[in-house]
Formats: sequence, structure tokens, C-alpha cells
Amino acid sequence: MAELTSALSSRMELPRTDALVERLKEGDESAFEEVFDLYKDLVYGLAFRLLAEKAEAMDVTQEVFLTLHRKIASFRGDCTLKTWLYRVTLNQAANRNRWWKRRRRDRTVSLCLDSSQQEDHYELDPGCPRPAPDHQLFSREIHEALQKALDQLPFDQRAAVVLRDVQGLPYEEIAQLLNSQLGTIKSRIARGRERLRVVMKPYCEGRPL
Amino acid sequence: MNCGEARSKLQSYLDRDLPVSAQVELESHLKSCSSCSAVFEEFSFLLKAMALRPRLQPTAERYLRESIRQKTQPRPRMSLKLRFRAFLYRLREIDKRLLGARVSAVPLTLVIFYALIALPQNHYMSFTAQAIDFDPKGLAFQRPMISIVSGRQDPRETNRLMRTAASIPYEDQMAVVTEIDPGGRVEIDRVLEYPKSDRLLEAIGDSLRSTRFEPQSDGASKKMVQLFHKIDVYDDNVQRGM
Repeated sequence: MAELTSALSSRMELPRTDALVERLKEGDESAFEEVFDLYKDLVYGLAFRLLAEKAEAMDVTQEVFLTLHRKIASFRGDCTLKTWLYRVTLNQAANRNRWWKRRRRDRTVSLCLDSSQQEDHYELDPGCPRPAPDHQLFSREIHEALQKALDQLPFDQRAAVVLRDVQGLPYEEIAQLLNSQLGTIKSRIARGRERLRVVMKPYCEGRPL
Repeated sequence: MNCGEARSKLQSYLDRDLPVSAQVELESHLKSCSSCSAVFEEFSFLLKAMALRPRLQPTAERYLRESIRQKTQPRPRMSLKLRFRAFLYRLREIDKRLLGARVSAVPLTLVIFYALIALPQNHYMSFTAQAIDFDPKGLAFQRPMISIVSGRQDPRETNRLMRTAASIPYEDQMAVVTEIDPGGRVEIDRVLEYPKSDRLLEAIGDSLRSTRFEPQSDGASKKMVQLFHKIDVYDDNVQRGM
């Protein structure tokens, strides 16, 4: 129920955002809490899909909300708060991705619990326009394979696919967020999905949909 | 609709971004074509799996909330006296063993910095390699070209030479390929042909005169002699290098 309420409130974001931003600018702590409650899953979900690690995603989430706290005064309101948070999350994730790329993440082992020791924490966003998946279908194995496949995509492609298929954003908004042309974004998503489809093919075969 | 057309429209169909007529056409193709229908099912499966969004677990959320709260709390302002005492305390805590090294590192860094930016750039300064392709058709390394890569040469000198070379018609240029790494070792890999243009020869001669060469191997020395002889650059500077 709590999830449903939070999701419904996220659908009614627009009318509330202006007032929230004003309260944030005035330094209202309860407004900050409200923003955190509204967008925590959105920011964390995006960061997790982009970075494939829980600890990294949590760090990014923390950094995004700290940035919000520090920089809210300079928020001009030429985009929605949600778009602004998406942009900060993408920048943070891209920075971390570059950082790890330089330090050869594939050759390091995280000291955090690995994903197999983590409990499942996937839920369908009720606001998502896609048909409800069969939950039994999505075993941990599939999630791990999907995350691994996502991790293999170049960052730009991964970001576009995640924004489209995980966050359900329209193509135009994705193009705006990633500072690219609409056509570029469409082909990036198409190529990304095609690669994911090929990798995920063995998991699909023989399963009823 | 054939399979190629159907495949190209599958993603738009899943995005509900297809006109109704194309949608109907695609659906009828999917009913009749098992391979396209399999691909469609794979895409549907993928999109359903992607639609599950990772969410923060309650424990992680509590931790994150608390951590952010702590970091956004305004810190109480310390009085000037207290800040001075804290400074003295930190000063006492500094590891005395490396203090001398740390303190002396500051002027040393400044001196090196000054030497790097303020002293005239002579030929002892190492210089990032440059390679310029003068081939007008962009066929790099496929036709004779001028590529001068200089190590310890004064960059201004190299630029002057490059400007001269650029002003000479391509037909009159031939290749002089030298490679001098920034460490000062000279390797001439290939001397394809020497410039036909006297003006360019002269410019190269001038340029080499102001450069200090230190060939490390006999082979390189021979090639240098050959090259310098051809372009008539025998002066003290080069002789010393030989």
C-alpha cells in the first residue's frame, strides 16, 4: 500500500513540485524529506541499473541528494525537479563509470556483499505503462544475467536503454537528458535492446509469456 | 510485409509508436512467421524484465536517510579563539619526522615550476612529438609526405619549419621522416626521399641546426649523417651529437 501511495504521488508530481522547490530554497528540512521520499527509488533504480552494484548505487543516490541540498538555490526551474535529478544521477553515474574504467573494475572485487548474497529488491513500478510481468518468471538468475548484459553495453547506450525501458521516459525527454538528437537516441536504444535480446535469448526460450 | 520490414518495426511496435495500419500489418505477419514471432517474444520478455525497477531496501533507506541528514546538518560555528586552539592542536599532531621534507618540498616545487614556465625554451626542453601529414588527399602514410617528429627541438623552431613546409606545393615536397623521442634518443626510421624544394631543404637545415641530437645507435648515426650530408647541415651542434 505504501508503495502504491508513493507511486501515485509520483504521478501527481507536477503540481506539487513548484511548491516543493520553493520550500527547499527556503531551507525547509521537511521539504527535503518529502523530495527524498518521492524520488529515492527513482534515483536509486537508475543508478543501480547503470552501475550494477548496490554500494555504488547507494553512494550515487546519496551524492545526488547532497547535490540537491547544496545546489537547490541555483535551480532555475527550466526543467522539472525530476528531470534535474535524472540529469545529476546520470552525471554522477558517468563519473563513477569513468573512474572505475580507469581502475579496471573487472579486476577488482567489491568488499560489499556480492549480488548473490543480496536479497531481491525488485518491484514493478505501478506507474510503468508496460504490462505486468509474471513475477515468478523473473528469477534471480534472470536479473543477474540482465544486469550483466546491461553492464556490457557502452555507457551511452546503457543510459539510453535504462531511461527508456526501466524508467519509462519518452524518447524526447531522453534526448534532452543526454544532450543528443532524437534519431541518435532511437538508434542507440534499438542497438542496445538488440544486444540485450541476443544475450537474454537463452533465458526466454521455453518460458511461457 | 517481409521479415526484414517486420524486424525493423518490432521495437516501434513494442513502444506503441507505430501507425495503426502498420500495426495491423505487423500483427498479421507475426501470426504467419514463426521466426519473427520468436524475436518478438524475446523483445517482450526483455522489456518485461527491464520493467522491474530495483528499489531501495528499508535498511539501506534508513542508512541513506541518516547519512544524508548528518551531512546536511549545519555545523555549529566555532568561535575564533576555539578555531585558533584547534589549529594549534592540529599543528602539534603533525608528524614531525616528515615535516622538513614537506616544508622543503614547497620552495622546490615553486623553483621547478618557475624553471618550466619562465626559462627560455631551449633545445634541452623535452617536447611533445608532432607529426604533420601534408598529403592533400588525406592518404596518410600511403604517399610520400613530410613528417617531422622532433624531441628536443624548440617548439617554435618546429612550428616555423612546419609553416614553411605548408607553404610549399605538395608536388615539391618529398619525405623526410625522422623520429626523435622526447627522451632525446634519435631514431630515423625511414628516409623515403629528400625534399625537392630548395626552400624546404633550407628550412629543414635551419631547423636542425638549432636542435641538439644525440643518436644512440650506430645505425641511427649513419642515417643522420646521410640525412645531414644531403641537406648540408654540418655545424657544431650536429657534430657534437654525432
